[in-house]
Formats: sequence, C-alpha cells, structure tokens
Amino acid sequence: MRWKKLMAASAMLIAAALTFTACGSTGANESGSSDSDTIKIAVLEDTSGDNSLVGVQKYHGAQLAIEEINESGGILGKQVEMIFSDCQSNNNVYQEMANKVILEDQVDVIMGCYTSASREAIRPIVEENNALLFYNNQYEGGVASHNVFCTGAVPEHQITTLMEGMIKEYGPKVYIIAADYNFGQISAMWVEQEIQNNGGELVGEEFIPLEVSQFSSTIANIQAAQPDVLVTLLVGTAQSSFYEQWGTSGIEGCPMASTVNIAQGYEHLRFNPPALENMYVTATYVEELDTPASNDFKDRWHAMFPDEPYIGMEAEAEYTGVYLYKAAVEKAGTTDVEAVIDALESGEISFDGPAGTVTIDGATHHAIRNVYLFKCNADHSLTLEETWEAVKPDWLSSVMGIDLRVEAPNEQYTPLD
Amino acid sequence: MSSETNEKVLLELIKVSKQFGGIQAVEDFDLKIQKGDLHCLIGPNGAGKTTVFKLITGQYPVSSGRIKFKGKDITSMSASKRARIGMSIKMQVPGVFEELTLRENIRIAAGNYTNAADLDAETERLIKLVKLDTIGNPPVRNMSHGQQQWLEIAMALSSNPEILLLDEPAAGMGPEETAFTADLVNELNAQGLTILFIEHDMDFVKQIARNVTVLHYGKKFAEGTVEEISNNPAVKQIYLGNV
Amino acid sequence: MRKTKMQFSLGSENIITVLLLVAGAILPFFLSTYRVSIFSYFFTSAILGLSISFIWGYTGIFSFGQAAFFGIGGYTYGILSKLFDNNALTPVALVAGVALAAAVAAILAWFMFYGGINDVFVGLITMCFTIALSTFLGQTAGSEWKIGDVSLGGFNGITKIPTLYFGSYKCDKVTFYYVTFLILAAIYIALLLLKKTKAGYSLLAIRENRTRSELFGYNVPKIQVIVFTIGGAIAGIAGVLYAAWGNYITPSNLDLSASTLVVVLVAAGGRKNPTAALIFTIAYSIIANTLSSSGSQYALVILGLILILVILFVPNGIITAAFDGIDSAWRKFTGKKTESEGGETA
Repeated sequence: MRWKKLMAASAMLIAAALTFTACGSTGANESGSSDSDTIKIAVLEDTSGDNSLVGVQKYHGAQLAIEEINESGGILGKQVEMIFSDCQSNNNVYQEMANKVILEDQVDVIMGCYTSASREAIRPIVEENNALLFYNNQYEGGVASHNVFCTGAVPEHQITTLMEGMIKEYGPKVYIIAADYNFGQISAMWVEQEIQNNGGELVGEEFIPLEVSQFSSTIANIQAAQPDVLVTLLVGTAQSSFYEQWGTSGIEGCPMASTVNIAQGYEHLRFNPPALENMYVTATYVEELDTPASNDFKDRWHAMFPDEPYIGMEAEAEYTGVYLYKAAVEKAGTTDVEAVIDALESGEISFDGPAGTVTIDGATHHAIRNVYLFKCNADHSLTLEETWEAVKPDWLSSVMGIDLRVEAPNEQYTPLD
Repeated sequence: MSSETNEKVLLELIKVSKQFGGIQAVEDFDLKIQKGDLHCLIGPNGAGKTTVFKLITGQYPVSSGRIKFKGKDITSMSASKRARIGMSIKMQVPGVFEELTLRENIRIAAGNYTNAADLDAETERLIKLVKLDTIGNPPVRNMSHGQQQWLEIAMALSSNPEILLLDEPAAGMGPEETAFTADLVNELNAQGLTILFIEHDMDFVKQIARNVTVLHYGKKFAEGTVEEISNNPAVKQIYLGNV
Repeated sequence: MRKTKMQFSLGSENIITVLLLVAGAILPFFLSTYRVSIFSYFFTSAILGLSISFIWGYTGIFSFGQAAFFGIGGYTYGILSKLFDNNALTPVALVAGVALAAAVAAILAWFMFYGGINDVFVGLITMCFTIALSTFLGQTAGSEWKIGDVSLGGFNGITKIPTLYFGSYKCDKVTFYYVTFLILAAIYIALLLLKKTKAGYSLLAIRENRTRSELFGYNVPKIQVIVFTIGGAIAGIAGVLYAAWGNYITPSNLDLSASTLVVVLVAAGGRKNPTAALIFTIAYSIIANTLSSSGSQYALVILGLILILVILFVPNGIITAAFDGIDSAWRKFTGKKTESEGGETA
C-alpha cells in the first residue's frame, strides 16, 4: 500500500514536471506585455487533434513569413512577435485563446482558425472587442464582418471554375456526393448552381454522414446514373476510403472533381496510387505549381522545415495573409485596427507571392486571386490543366448587395438566405 | 376455512409456482403462516427455499398462484411497497452497506419509517436490541460476520414489521454466536413478531422453531411441528443424515 | 424536509469548502478582466461536473449523457434568446433551457429506470443518446433546419447568442462571473448539505445496493428518475451559462468526447465527494488553459497522461485521497482517535 502511494506521488511529480517544462519550452511565446516596440501577431491553429494535418502547415506558413519579415527589417521598423496557441481542434480552446490574445496579450492581429465552426466561435469575440482576424482558409463563403478578412478559397474561386472546366471537357451530366454537414451541403448548393450556369444537368446527389466508410450502395447509384462528371466533396478519414472503392468498382473514365482533396490534406501522397487517378481539383495553390515564385517559396520553406510532408493551399494562404497584413499596416502607417481595416478596404493591398498576385477586395473582405485546375494522374503526379487569373469573390457584393466599406452586418450568409 | 383462522393467518401462499425458463423452481406451493408463529422452512440445497423468500418479498414475480398478506392480495405489489406494509427480510448474504458505519447503516434502513427528529433515538434503540451498543461506530467492513448478521437483523427490524423473514440467520456462525442468535430470535417472537426463517442446521431449528415446512424439489414435502418433522423417516431420508 | 442536527466537524474538507467559497468571492479583485471571464467558463465546466457527482457519486447512476443535457440547455437558450430578440427576456430563455434539459432527462430516465435498466446499460443508452443528438445537430446545416428564423447551423452551431441581461442591465464580464459563481456555489452547498439528510442517505443506499434498498422500502426507480432529472437540470444550467458566456454553441459541446471528459474528470477528482470533483475540474481547466496558452503541441498528451496516472494509482480520486491523507496526518499529529476507531464523535 505504501509502495502504491509512493508510485502515485512520483507519477504526480513527473506529470507536474512535464507540465512546467511544456509551459516554459517550445520557445513559442514570451510573456505578453504591452510592448509597443514590437508588432504582435497571434496565431491560433490546430497542431494537435483531428485537424493537425493542415494546422501544422499553417503554423509553419506563419512562422516562415514572420521570420522573413523580421530578417528584412520588420513592419514599420518594428520586429514582429508571434504568439502561438495550439487550439487542439477544439472550439472551446479557440474561444479561450481568442479571449486571451485579445484581452491579455493585446495582439495587433489574429491569424487563425481552420474549420468554419472554430471561426464562428471566435468571430463574436473579435467583433465585440473590435479586434482583427485573418481567416486564411478555404471555406463555404459568406462571412460579411467588419473585423474579419478571408484570404482563402471560397466557392466563387473553386466551384465556378471547376464546374466550368469539367463540363466543358467531359460533358453536362453531373453526380454529386458530399459530406453531410455545413461545408458539404453549402458546397453542393454552389455546384448545383454552377451546373445550371454551365448548361449542365444534375443526375444525382447524395449526402453522406461523416462516419460512413462503406460506399457500395452509393457507387451502385452512381453507376446507374452514368454521369459525365462525379463531384466529390468528401471530408475526413472515414470518407476517404471512397477513392479506393471507386477505383475498384467505379466507372472507368469518369473523372472525379473536388475542391477539398489534394491541395489541403495531400491525399495524393498519403494514399497509394492509383487511388486518386482521374481526380481534378481547383486550388488556389499546390506545391506542384511550377512557377519561379512558387519554386523559390518552396526552397525557402524546406530550408526552414526540411521534414515538411507537403506545402498545401492553406499553408500558402496563411503565409500570404501575414504579408497582406504587413502591406496594410505599412499603408496605414499604424497598427490601429480601424486604420488597418481602412487600408485593407482601399482595394490597393496586394501581395505577389507563390500563388501569384493576391489582392484584398475592399467591399467583401475576401481575396481576388488565381485559381489552378490540376489533374491527378495514375502515378499521383499533378498536371496543370487550366488557370484562371484574378478570380473575384463577388457573391457577397453582386448577389447579396453587401459593401463592407459602407455597412457591416457581421453575419455569415449562405445561398439559402 | 373459519373466519377465526383467517384473522390469524398473516401470510398465505396459494398454489404458488415459479419457473425460470424451462426450470420449475417452485411448484404448487401452499403455505399458511399464523400470526405469532416461529416457522422454519427447511430442505436440501436447491430445494427452492430462497426462491420462495424472493417470491414473498417481491424480488421475483410469481409465474402462477397468489400471495396474501394480512388478508390482502399482494401478488402484483412492488417489493418496496411490501417492505412498507410490514414485511421485512434479512438475506442470506448480509445486505449491509460495507463502506458505511454501523449507525449509517441503521439510519438508511430506518429512513423510510422514522421521521428525522426521532431517527437518532431509534438508531440507538435498534443497536441496543441486537446488543451491538458496545462496539462504538466502526465501518461495517471491520465488523465480524456474526456482528454483520445481527446488524442486518436490526436493520430489518427498523420498519417495525409484522413478519420477519430470516434467510439462514446462523450461517457462518460459531456455537456461541449461534446461541446468541437463537436467543435473539426467541426474544423477538416473544414480543409478538411473526418469524419465518430458512435454516440448514437442525440443532438451531430445534432450539427455536415451533412449526416446520419441508421443501423438496420445489414442492412441499412435509409439514408439522418440530417434533413431528424431526422424527419423520421420509424427511430424514431426503436429508441424508442431516436431521 | 427537516435536517438532522448538523455536526460541523473541523475536517480538512470543511475548511477547504469555506476557503473555496471565499476565494471564489474575492477572485475578481485580484485578476484581470480576461482571467475573470475565463473563470466564468471554468465554472460552467465545474457545474457540469457537479451534475455527475450528484447522479454518479451520490446515487451510482453512470451516465455518459450529461453533455447532451448541457447541449440541450445551451441550444434552447440560444434559440429562444435569439427568437425573443429582447434582452429583458434572456432570463426566460435561461429558465426554459434548464426546464427542457430536465424534461428530456426525466423522459429518458422514466424509460430506463422503470424499464429496469441499470449499471452499464444506463451508460450505453446515455452514450447512444449523446451520439444520436450530436450527430443529428451536426447535419442541420441546411435552411430547412430553422426554428422561426434561427438556423440550427449544423456543425457551425448557433452564433451571436446574446449574453444574460437583467432588465436592461447587461451581465458583462465581472457581473457574469458572479452570476456563474453564485449558481455554482448554491449547487455545491446544496449537494454538501444533502449528504447528511435522509434524502441523501437514500441516495447512498441506492448507490451501494439497489436491491437491498428496495427491500428497505425505498422506491428505487422513482428516486432514480428524480435524481437523473435534477442531474439533467444541473447540466442544463451549465449549458445555458456557457452559451451566454461564449455567445456560441455547437454540436461539439455535446458530443461523446465532451461527455466522456467530464466523467473522467469527476472520477479522477473523487466522484463521491463534490468538493473533490469541483477542485479537480477547475484545476484541470486551469492546467489545460495554461498549456494551450503556452503554445505547446503536447498539451493533449500531457493532459491525457495526467488523467491516466491519476486513475491508475488513485482510482478513488486524487483529491479525495489528499483529504484522507491530510486528515490522518492531522489525527496522528494531535493524537485524536476517529469515531471509527472507537473515539467520541466530534
């Protein structure tokens, strides 16, 4: 009995020691004091938990950008200090950390969030405290907020281009399978809309719960409908078993079209070929983009992170987001939030980066940027099929009539509204 | 049946049967317990004695037959209700709360029958009744097996029952403890409590029982006074020398 | 219900209770507004933990469903407060949230306990209920999932939930802290007082031996339904307060990992003792928050390790063990004997 208590006591000590070590180490943060000699950027990403595959890339993207900026003199002559929190793919932690970085650390801007749920969890906190959030991630679109800027891909970027490209190349009959939650449902709505706009025909649609990993009946339905294009909007580990099953028993020659795969979670490197053969994806960036800017970026990235498995589109978005913020602060001449927002809304804030030129659209707070259609081959190499330049994220402005320079409703809209 | 007999019959089982799946545990069992009786239920292992007890208390529902208590049909009455109308049981395995103290145990048992103001006094009364008032207030797991049995009898008495069912009250006890238990049971009966108990130990039975019912393969085998049963050759035979 | 005479023994636990309450009352004077606000959030977790301490620690009902009632409370408050669109009515939404959580708990309990279901199977059924509810809410992203014009929002949940107002007075950071603290303190003290009452003992009896309790005249299924309903109400309060604090609620607040975590925390602290559950839940929240703030990637690993170690070595709860340790060390020091060793009662 005494031995047991001794073991318990030492176990506690070990745990306590680990805790304190972890708190003090990683070198990620210094204590947050209101130091006006530095510019403080909070980075809230998921480096553990379900979303860490992409979260780690984004964290690295922020780190690379900030290091480069500091090496070339910082912003307005001040060094940039990063305050990083791993939000553990947990919305509650996002809320806690948002409160902390805004109220306690008093940072100048937040770069963060992966899922829409996490963004919506902290958006009220950001708006209430008149803070500034850069959401550097693909999502279903529709955020119209005074304090939020979205640099990632939205349906106008990915879906309009994808459906245009695929229907033109392969034919009008389209079947959709999508994950049964917000992102899948809203994306599917967009696809349906774009099918109409391109003179196509929806021959079938299925929404699949996130835990499902058996697709035999779905594949049978697709076979029966004989589409020209299969749009796949599948998310998560369970649903990823679809590709292999499709490869075995699907329609040969019928291409898959997606906005979610390859460019984020680098499935083409993680799954064995030829699982993703004949998949098309419209992305705002992939590592395989062969331009001087992209190759240079990759070299610098691998110099800092030699073991990085893949540099995806959200990694680039985060990197670009930091640089866009820098440009806005330099134009405003200050880190004061309202001044920076004014600068961003001027329409003149641009960054020439690895993905091409990215410009903030003042009316919608979203990014005008290039979109690339890539095809995944049998050996899982990627071929660039088509490029659209400077695609505008204009759904909020032209369809919903919103101009954030005039009035900010601070809501998220969907095509259902 | 005369009305006079009816008034004096406290507990009655009428053709009670119990099946578990394909097994007939109790079959067509009749039993009449008079008020004030000290009645013993004996029989070889597996004869169905404990099953009969569980049917009486309501832990098992009967497959067929009826049970009457104080003239009222209680066949479909819940166990907790039966406990509240004057039926009390001490189980074979001590059903005491081992992690709790002596007094906490009694408090729990008496909780439904005594109001809060009298609870302390009632607790002490019951402890004294089973002569456990000299050992302080230990956690029950520190008490001896015999003490736990007496504690449980005290708990069973907290509802001021009209009938007390005892399932092997002397089980696991040495000769001194057995004698004490026998005295206790006699004393309680002398105060007017009707007692029905199950026992194996024929010496114990002879010390205290007045009437005996013998159960064999779930059926009533014999019934009578203690003397009649102890001298019954057929009973001796099924017990193979235990008598 | 008349209470038996209270004997205030100066055990380590009672001292700690007083210290905790005093500390909670004066905390806002020593902390920044941010930290005060975060403590409100910790307190909602603690209230959820107390609901488990009540139904499991006191009564032996092992439920994986408390997060579901947390979520029902939070969602109801969110939907109603947005529907009313009137800050003065937020307390009404609060009460409705608690009431609905309690009602659902009552129905579920009625089916379970009067159906004779107990022990492991209650755990399974409540687990299934939680999974079903969170999955259902997760797929409500479409426009057809609206109540009035409040979208359920699927995985994104419901945003811009108004905070609590009393009349036109907004319960801002510090005020909200005191609202949460007072509710937590009230529930906590009620649980402590309950222990020594007849009702408290009946719960104890049911926890220790259900069948035997029935034979002592306790209507066990009825008591279990009442307890489970109250537990659901307490979890519902926690959910309402959380939604009002964070202005946000999602299905992830009521999924299986949320349900499991709180059970583990209460087990690790000491389930039979509300003080232990309270201390450990809050301590864990503080550690988790500190680890996350530090930016360490190993936060989840460390937290998991701590919980595993505690459950392995101190299965009755580490805080309970600490109390026992302090008590016995104190007795050795003063040479007093305990009741159980034959000494006098205090």
